[in-house]
Order: sequence, then structure tokens, then C-alpha cells
Amino acid sequence: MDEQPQFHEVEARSVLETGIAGLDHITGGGLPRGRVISIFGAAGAGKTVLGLQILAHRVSMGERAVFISFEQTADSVLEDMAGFSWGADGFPEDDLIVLETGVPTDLHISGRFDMQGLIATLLAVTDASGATIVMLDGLNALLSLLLEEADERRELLRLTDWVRSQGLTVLITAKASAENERARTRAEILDYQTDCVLVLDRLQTGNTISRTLQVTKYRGAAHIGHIVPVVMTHNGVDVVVAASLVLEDSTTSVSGSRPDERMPTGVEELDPLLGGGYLVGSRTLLSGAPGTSKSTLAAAFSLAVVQGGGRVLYVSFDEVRAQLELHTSSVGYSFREPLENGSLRILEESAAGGTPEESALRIIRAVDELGANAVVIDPVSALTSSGQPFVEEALSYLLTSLSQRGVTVLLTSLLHGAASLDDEATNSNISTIADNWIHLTYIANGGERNRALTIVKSRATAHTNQVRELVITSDGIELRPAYAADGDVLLGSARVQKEEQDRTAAWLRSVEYERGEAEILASMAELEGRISGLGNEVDLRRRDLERLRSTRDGALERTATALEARVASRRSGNLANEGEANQK
Amino acid sequence: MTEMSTSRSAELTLLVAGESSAARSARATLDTLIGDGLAEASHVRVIDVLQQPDYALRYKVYFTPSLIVETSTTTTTIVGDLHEIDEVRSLLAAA
Repeated sequence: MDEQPQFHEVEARSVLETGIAGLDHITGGGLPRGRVISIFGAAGAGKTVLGLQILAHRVSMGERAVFISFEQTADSVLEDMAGFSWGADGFPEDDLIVLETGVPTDLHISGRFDMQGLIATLLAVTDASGATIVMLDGLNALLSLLLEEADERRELLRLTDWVRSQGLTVLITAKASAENERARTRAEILDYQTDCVLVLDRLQTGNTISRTLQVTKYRGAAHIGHIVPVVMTHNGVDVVVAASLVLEDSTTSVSGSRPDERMPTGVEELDPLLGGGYLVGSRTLLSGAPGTSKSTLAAAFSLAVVQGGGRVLYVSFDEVRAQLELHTSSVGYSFREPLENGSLRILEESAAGGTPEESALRIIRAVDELGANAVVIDPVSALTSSGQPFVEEALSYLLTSLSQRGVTVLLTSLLHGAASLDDEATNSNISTIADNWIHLTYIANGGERNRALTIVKSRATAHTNQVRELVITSDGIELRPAYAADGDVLLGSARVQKEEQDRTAAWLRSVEYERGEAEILASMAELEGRISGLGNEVDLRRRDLERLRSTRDGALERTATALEARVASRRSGNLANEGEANQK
Repeated sequence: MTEMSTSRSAELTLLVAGESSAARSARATLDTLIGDGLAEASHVRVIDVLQQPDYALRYKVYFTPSLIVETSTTTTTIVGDLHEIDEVRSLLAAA
């Protein structure tokens, strides 16, 4: 058993779900139960909110919790909590005990002391309430009253040892370590003394602030130690990380769709090219330069889904709702009715207004509110090219969360100027995340710019890789087979002209064929005639030969007969001569 | 002396945690104060918060020993082992 000690420890580990899915994910199920957990962060980093939210979740799970603040009054804590969705309804006083503590204002220090009073306080509260989880908020205010660093070390040790002996789970918030030497030492002590350390921080990029969380320590368990993005909304703290793939698999069946079920693309000619449409729950990337009809294709898809009884969330980054409605209705795709009956919702997002992780959360929330089974993100490049630090994390979270819900996703991606397919493939990894990749482009030929559509990839689907011409009519989008000639793809009137030329050439070729065929047939007939004539000649010769042979045979026979006759006659002649002689 | 009258009328509660050296030192100081006539024995009590944790909660005492000095109008907390008697005397006087 000595060979695998860590496995035993993991199995024996008792965790406490925080109710924050992303945090539970990166901590492998939750925070360690019966242990001391430190939450570090600068002022305003969200330490108190995070702690309160975890307590609120534990209370909702039937536990009792105590919140002791050394900085705030009980009223202000309750007031803060009421501002969040999970605290708006309040909690029974016995379930979540908020202690108005604070250090007495008229406090003097004379001589050495310890913090056993705090331990006695915790004992009193937990004994009376049966609470299993305690949060000590702003403990540093208390610790800073301790005279020497050595005292602080000793008292923290005493506190953490006591907590562990009681089986209590204790969250301790502390200011970020960089503030001053004493705070740094305190952080080091806490870091050493506690079993799990969460660090909240903020990262400024331009005018945008990204919130972050890092699990820097988790004794006895594997944890994801890298910095993950955090979003603070009225729902409290959300840790934006993509949950496990296992979940993704199990929820595909939850959505109730067959593995090969397809959604119409909204363009009749496109469906067969993709094996019948977009696979339900798949991700399709529509890339192209401005004006190549990405939004129009997305609108066609949206309306097709809505007409099939589905619900669509259309996330518009570039255009405000009114612009988008106007633009799509001008090409035959009117959003008015589905918007009115609520089967389509437009979510206006602005890449400049915040972080990609905030957008990702808003999109998922809107999907859940609407019960959407398809989402259009137009364009996703607004997110990916935002220059923010957590683009990949946000995108991964967004797409994984949508997959878990079985939502079919259409992402448009804007390529500027001469950006090629290769640029798209290397600049963003969306193309690798996408199941289908449709590229739209302009092809200039003979003074025209025509739109062309190529299916670059379509996972698990037999698809054509031929370029199609995309034509926008008053009835919407139509795809027409493009003309490939001499390595060029011809669209528009060049295609028509080339088609005409080729039709004539084909007619000429067919005439040629007919003529050639007739000649050959005639020649064959002639040869056959000759063969038949020669056959007759052969017959004649054969008959001559037979005649000749029979003639020769007759002559020989006659000769033989004559010889025989002569022999016979000679023989009889001798006898006659003998008779004659005898007569003589 | 005004000093004496203030402290004598005050209620003194010494909160200690078990039998630590700091607790013993604080008790000794308190005894000296009573002996000096600076505190009224009937107005002084000593409580072990490990035995009666409710007192720690009631007085918001996180540090031990803590001497709570309550007059009709003010509450003063003196934290520490109180081994500097002169310092304690002047704090009491100010209370």
C-alpha cells in the first residue's frame, strides 16, 4: 500500500462544494472540508463576496454557517449580501449567523496577550448553532494589533490547529501580500499554515479590468494552479473555466437529439453539401471579409431554426439590433415575427464594453433564459481579437457550455483585407474548435466581384470541397455551382459566358463524335462485307480443292482397277494361250 | 482623588484563557490593584473564556487576557498580561 499513498489521500479527501461551478472544477470538486482556507486579495478584489457566496451556498445545502467580520457591521454585511441574487431573499438568522464584531474602539494594549478569546468566541458560536463552516473576514485588522511578528505566527498556528481539531471549515480572508512587509509575512504564514489558498487579483488591459483567481495551494489534492478569469455580477463570483468533457458527453443525450440529427442551414442548396444541414449541437465557423454575406447566412439559419420550432439567440457584436433587423430584412430575412413571438432574441454585445469572459457569461445566461437551441455569434472575431488576456478561456468556456446544452452554434469570423484562410487558421484556433468551416470570399473576374462559398471542412460528414457561387436574391440566398476552368473559379457573368462557350464546344464535340461513329460504322460494315466476300472465295477454293481431290482419287482408282484388270486378264490370257497352244 | 473614585466605581471583568502565564500575571496585577484600593473587590470578576465562551462573544474579546472596564458611560478594554502596573493604573485613571 506504500506505493500509492497519494491515491488514498485523494479518496479520503472530503470536499465542500462551493456552488461556483468553475471553482469546484479547478479544485477537483470543492474546497477541503474541515480545513483552513485562505482567500488573499487586494481591497476590492472580491474576497468577502466570494466567501459570503460560498457560505450562502452551504446554507442552501442545509449547513449552518457563521460569518465574523472584523471590519464591517452586521447590517452592512447583510446589506451587501442582499445585492446578490443568492442573498436577495435573505437567510434564516439561525442558518447564517452574521456577527457584528469589530475591534472595540477604546482598546489599549498593556503587555503580552494571545488570541484564545477568538477561539473561545468561535467555540461559543459554533456550539450554540451547530455551524460547520466559519468565515473570518478582515482578520488582518485583528492581527495587526499583535505586537510582534512572532506573536502573529504563534497565534495563527494556534487558531489553525484548533480549527482542525474541531473539524470546522474556516475561510480566512487576508489582504494581498504586496502591501507591506508585515502583510507579506502574514501572507507567508497563512500560506504555510492553511490547507488551501485562493488568490484573487485584478489585471488591467487598457481601460478594462479583468478579475482573476488562482488556487496557489491545495494540500493533498491535484488542483489547476494557473490563473483563471473571474466575473463579478449580481450573481456574485463566477469562475470562467470550461468544465470537463465528460459532462459534455453526458449532456448530449440529455438534449434528446439523435447523434445524426441535423438542422437546416436556411439555404436549400447548402443542406445537401453538408450531409443534410448542420449537425445538432455542432459548431460552424463562417469566415470571410466584410460584406461576404456572413450575417445574411446567419440570418437564414436563424429563421430556418425558428420556422422549425426552435429558439435562437442572435449575439450581435457589430451591429445594434435595429441595424441588424434592417440589414437582414433587406435581403429577404425578416426577424420581426420571431422577435415578436419570442422565438428569436438579439443580444447586443460590445467588445469594447468589457472582457470576453463577461460576454461569454452573458451569452450563456441569455441562452438559458431563452431556452435557445441555436446560437449565432456575429462575429466571434470581436471577442477573439479584443486583445484581452482571457480570450481563449472565455471562448472555451462559452463553446463548452453551449455544447453541454446541446446548442447548435454558428460563429461568424471577420477577415480583414488580404487575410487568407491560412491566417484564419493560425490567428484564431476557432477553426480547430469548429466542426464545420465555411469560408466566404469575393472572387473578382471580368470587372465583377462575386461571392463564393467554400466548405473548408465538415467533420464526420461527406461534403463537397467545390466552390459555389453565393447569389443573394430578393428571396434570400441561393447557391449555384461555380465553374472551374484552367485552375480558376468563374462566377457571375464570367461563369455564364464560359458556360455558353463550353455548351457550344460540347455541341461541336458531340457532332464530331457522331460523325466519327458513322465513319467507323461504315468502315466496319465495309470490312465485314469484305470478310464475307473472302469467305465465299474460301468456300469456292475449298470446293475446287475437293473436286480436285475427288478427281485425283477417281483416276487413281481407275488406274488401280485397270491394273487389276490387266493382271487378271494376263492371268486368264496365259491360260487361254496355253489353251490356244494346246489347241495348236 | 478623582483617579481612585473612577476606577473604584467601575465594573472590572478580566477575561483569561486557561492558566497561562499571561493569565497569572494579569490576575496578580488585578489583586495588587484591589490591595492598593484602586479597585473594589466586589466589582471585580475573573472569567475563563475557555470554560465560559459566551463571555468572549458578549464582550467581543478575541485577545486574552482582556480587562473590561465598564463605567456607567464608557467601556474600556485593556488587552495584555498587565505586568506594567503603572501603565495599567494610568489607563484605569483615564477610563
